[in-house]
Amino acid sequence: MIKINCISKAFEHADGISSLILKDISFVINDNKIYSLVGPSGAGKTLLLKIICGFNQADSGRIEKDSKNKILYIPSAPSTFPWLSVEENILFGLGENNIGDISDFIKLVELDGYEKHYPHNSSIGFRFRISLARTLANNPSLICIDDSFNDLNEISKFELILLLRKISKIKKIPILLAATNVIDSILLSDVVFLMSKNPGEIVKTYQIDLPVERSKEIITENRFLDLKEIIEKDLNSIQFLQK
Amino acid sequence: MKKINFDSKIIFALTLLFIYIILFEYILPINKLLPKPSILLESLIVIWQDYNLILAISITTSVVYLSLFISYFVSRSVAILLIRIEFESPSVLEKLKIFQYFPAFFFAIIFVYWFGNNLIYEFLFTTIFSSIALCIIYVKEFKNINKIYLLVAKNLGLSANQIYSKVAIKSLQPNIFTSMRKIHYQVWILAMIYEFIAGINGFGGIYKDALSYSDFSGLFAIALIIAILILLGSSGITFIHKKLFFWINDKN
Repeated sequence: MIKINCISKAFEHADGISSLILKDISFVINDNKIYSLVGPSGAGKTLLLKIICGFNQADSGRIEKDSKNKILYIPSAPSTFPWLSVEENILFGLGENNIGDISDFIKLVELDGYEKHYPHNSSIGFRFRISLARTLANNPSLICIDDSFNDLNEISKFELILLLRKISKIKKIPILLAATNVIDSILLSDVVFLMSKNPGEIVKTYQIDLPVERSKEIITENRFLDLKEIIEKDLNSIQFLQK
Repeated sequence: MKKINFDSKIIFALTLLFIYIILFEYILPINKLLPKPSILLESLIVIWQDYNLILAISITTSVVYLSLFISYFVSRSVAILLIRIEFESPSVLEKLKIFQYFPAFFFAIIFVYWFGNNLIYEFLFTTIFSSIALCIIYVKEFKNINKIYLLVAKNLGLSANQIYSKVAIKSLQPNIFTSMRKIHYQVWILAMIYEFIAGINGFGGIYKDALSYSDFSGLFAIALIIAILILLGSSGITFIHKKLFFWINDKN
């Protein structure tokens, strides 16, 4: 279990005026669940992920976790190293003592047969799969994914979202996704946090009571459409109020 | 498209050659501008013996390519330190930029003055120059490095040293090899300047002799051979670039 406890963060502008970006963010991440942070762009979703991963420091609040918990980050832009093959990318960062059989991870992300392939000219989806396999090989306690699906076409996007969901359930690894797209968040997640902007705070939490096993067809079902309508309505009202 | 480009280059070169032959073989055979083509051709054969060209080629090419080879590895290690200094206190290296306004020619003269006309010092001079040039490229290119690579490496638990050596330096290799062609050319020039000043038996020394003998066609013949050697060296660097450092880094 990882507990995010009252995280706040402010930035000081060049003119000396300070603005609060994140305000009292609190939630708990339990094993085997997928969480989404949905909010308008500029709500501080990426910053929050970076604070959780330890890249940035919060001004107040704390992340409560076991010291051996590894929180790994998949950025929104492709993060595979173009000079390494698929296999070498997945092995990257593993200490010499931890290098084991990575074929399971390669199969899991459906990249078998591409082990020796260099990804520098590959699609974003292909490179995301490598990043995911590399993250899994490092045995994380939580995977933080920063809005990685925006530049993908619809087919690849749904494939990856369902693959992520499948892997999270098989490996029992929680995922925290920062997203701007409501459909992606509902399709992937078990819990959606709605964030406001200026300051970024969690204004509502939705339990996604859809079946654990999901397929692309679920997006036409009534419950999915209801959830989508509710969250989009709330998101729009946040954006309207902030204008 | 590339084929057309290559063909047009050959056609252009052949046209220039044709004009040169017609103009300087038949219309202006005696002039001080360019040598007569038939004499140049003759010179291309005799200079091998007259100037001991094999020895000159061995000396200059050994100095140039050994310097580049060693400085490539030296700069990789030194660059890690410099990048860290630049990253942590950006103004330190800025102050050293004053040296860029000094002509390289001056440094060659001062080296000859300090150490004399010794081949070892010529090699030392070109190695120091190419190492510094490569280090400058590393520091300059590091500012444009894709920060995502560094972030991911940090997140995967790599130490600062490992991030610099396994990610930063590695990702800069295509940029280094793009600049390497330019540095390769500069090292050739510097080696010849050193040999010219010190009178060492490389191409620079040969130029000094050819100039003292007023060997007009010899000067051109040597230039042609040097041009071919530089072209071969440059092609070799391009080949290594394409084979070993084939990737294009993602933009920030």
